[in-house]
Amino acid sequence: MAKATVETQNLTRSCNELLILSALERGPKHGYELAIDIEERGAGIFGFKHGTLYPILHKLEKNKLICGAWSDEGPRGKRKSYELTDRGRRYLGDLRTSWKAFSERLLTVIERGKS
Amino acid sequence: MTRFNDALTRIAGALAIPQPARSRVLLEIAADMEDMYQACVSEGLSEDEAEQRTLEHFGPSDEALQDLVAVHSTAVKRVLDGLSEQARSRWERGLLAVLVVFAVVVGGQPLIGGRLLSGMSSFAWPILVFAAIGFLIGATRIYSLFIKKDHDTRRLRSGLNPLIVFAIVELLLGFGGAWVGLFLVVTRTLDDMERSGIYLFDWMLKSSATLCFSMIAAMLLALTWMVLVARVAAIEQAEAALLLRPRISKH
Repeated sequence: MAKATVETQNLTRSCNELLILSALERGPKHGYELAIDIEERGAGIFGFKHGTLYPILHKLEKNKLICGAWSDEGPRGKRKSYELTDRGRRYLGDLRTSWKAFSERLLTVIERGKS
Repeated sequence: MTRFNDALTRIAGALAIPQPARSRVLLEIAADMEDMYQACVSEGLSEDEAEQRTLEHFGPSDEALQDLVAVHSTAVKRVLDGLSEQARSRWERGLLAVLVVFAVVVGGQPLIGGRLLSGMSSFAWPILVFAAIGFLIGATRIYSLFIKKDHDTRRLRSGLNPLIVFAIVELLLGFGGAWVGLFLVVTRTLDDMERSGIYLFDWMLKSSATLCFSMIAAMLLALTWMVLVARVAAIEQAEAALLLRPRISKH
């Protein structure tokens, strides 16, 4: 399993992973639902292009952190929704801790920079 | 396929990943695009505006497409994808035929006669155990795929990889056993030079029997794995084709 640490050299990807996993913690979602959920909860701050979702989703699925399943939704056709696995839940917990530590450290550095 | 045919065709062209993963990715993007389009229309946008906004949001960048390709590609797949469909099919059929003929001609008769088993070294037992477990797994998967026809996509590939792992273990045990046997022959020869010829001849007989058995078991396990993987791939292809059946016509 990938180590749940903040990749400082690739903050955007690491942040997107955290956002997606957190959104899925609230229940299974399709790709579009995920994007909307993140945008709404982030009050527009995390408005990323929806096309960038797929590599992250598929990587998380490959690492068994999330599980994708197809369902037939009648006239809307086939849809793939994702849900968090137990492994993903543990990973999310670790990632949250790492991000909190990272944010606190970042704020400390910024404050020192000011003085 | 959908109102976003052109965009999906462009994405498909850049998505160099094997089927059925490619079809599934396209279907997933198409479904999400359709969701966003419908949401835009319900917000009061015209169809053209809704289509335009959807394309702006969903068209994966070149970087995103490269990341997708990287996620779905493995070293083995990259090598196999280098071969044309025809060449791959010919190669697989040829390899299968050679394996079957070799296994039957070389291993069948001595195994049935029991001569091979009686002449093997003590490494025969772990080889037999791994072969038995491997064939048991293979038999359950064959039953599930060919007889029970359980094509649950989540379970299709489960239990297949251990077959190839066991095949490799069989080979390692066979060759490892031969080397250990040779080491013992050298040790004994140092203690008793007069009987060195007998020790060496005994080692050759036992090692050849053990190696022969381990290679036959490994080939049969690999053969079972190939057949099952081919069957699973065929099922996944059929499923992907079904998922991509024309559903929404362009307005």
